[in-house]
Amino acid sequence: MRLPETTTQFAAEQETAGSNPEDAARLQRMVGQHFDFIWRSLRRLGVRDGDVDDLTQRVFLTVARRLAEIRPGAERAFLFATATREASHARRSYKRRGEVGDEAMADKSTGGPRPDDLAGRREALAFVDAVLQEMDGDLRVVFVLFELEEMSAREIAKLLDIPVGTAKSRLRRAREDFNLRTASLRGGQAP
Amino acid sequence: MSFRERRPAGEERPSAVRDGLDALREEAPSEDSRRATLAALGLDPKMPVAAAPARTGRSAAVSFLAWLAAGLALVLAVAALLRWLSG
Repeated sequence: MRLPETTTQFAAEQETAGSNPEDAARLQRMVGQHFDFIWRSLRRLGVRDGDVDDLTQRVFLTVARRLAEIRPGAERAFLFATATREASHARRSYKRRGEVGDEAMADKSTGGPRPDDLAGRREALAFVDAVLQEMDGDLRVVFVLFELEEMSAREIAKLLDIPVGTAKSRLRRAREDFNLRTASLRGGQAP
Repeated sequence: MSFRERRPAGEERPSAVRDGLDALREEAPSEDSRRATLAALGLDPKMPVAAAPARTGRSAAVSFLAWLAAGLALVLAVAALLRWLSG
């Protein structure tokens, strides 16, 4: 997915960030502290390999435009909410164009791959990636934050601005869903 | 979050799934990507950036428990040595 308006945006944002030293310093800190997290989140929320750099950039450009609205301490949550929206747009765009993820390989017609098909790490990654993309959006977000970012239910609740009980409940359902979707692999492997 | 919450009993995943999750955990952006974003924001891409915060509270808690266990083991070992030396 290409971003044709990116160059124009870049020029506008360069002027914005450069015009205020405090904003520039704040943005610099945000990139330093959260760039990797946002990149990983986009990737795990269904953005294709070839698009993830562009979309990460777009998230930070959006945040730069709305910097004044973000209260100190809420930067991570704001960035993540923006990233979640961008990932959702990207997934819809892939679906509309009939594109499949770069490595998607879950074969629904046979109930998923057999263990032998996932001998390589790359294949295993593609399978898990495909399983994640099939999950419900709310469940996927919580699952990714818990399993891959290793956040606690309390941290997830804070990031998503939801009650801790809701985060725990979603997490329980997300794990059940994930385990169900990967159950086809259980038969051929020792626990 | 307790360990039980973290990995409920019986929730053992197939190795291919564990491998896939591990591979996803290891994915990371390139330095070029970060620099391009800094440049797009009108910031100096060569300027050192603030270190990312500790990745997770959970990891920190596990690390703390590991240190605590190591410290306790050391104290017990010294106590046992002293008791042995004092006959």
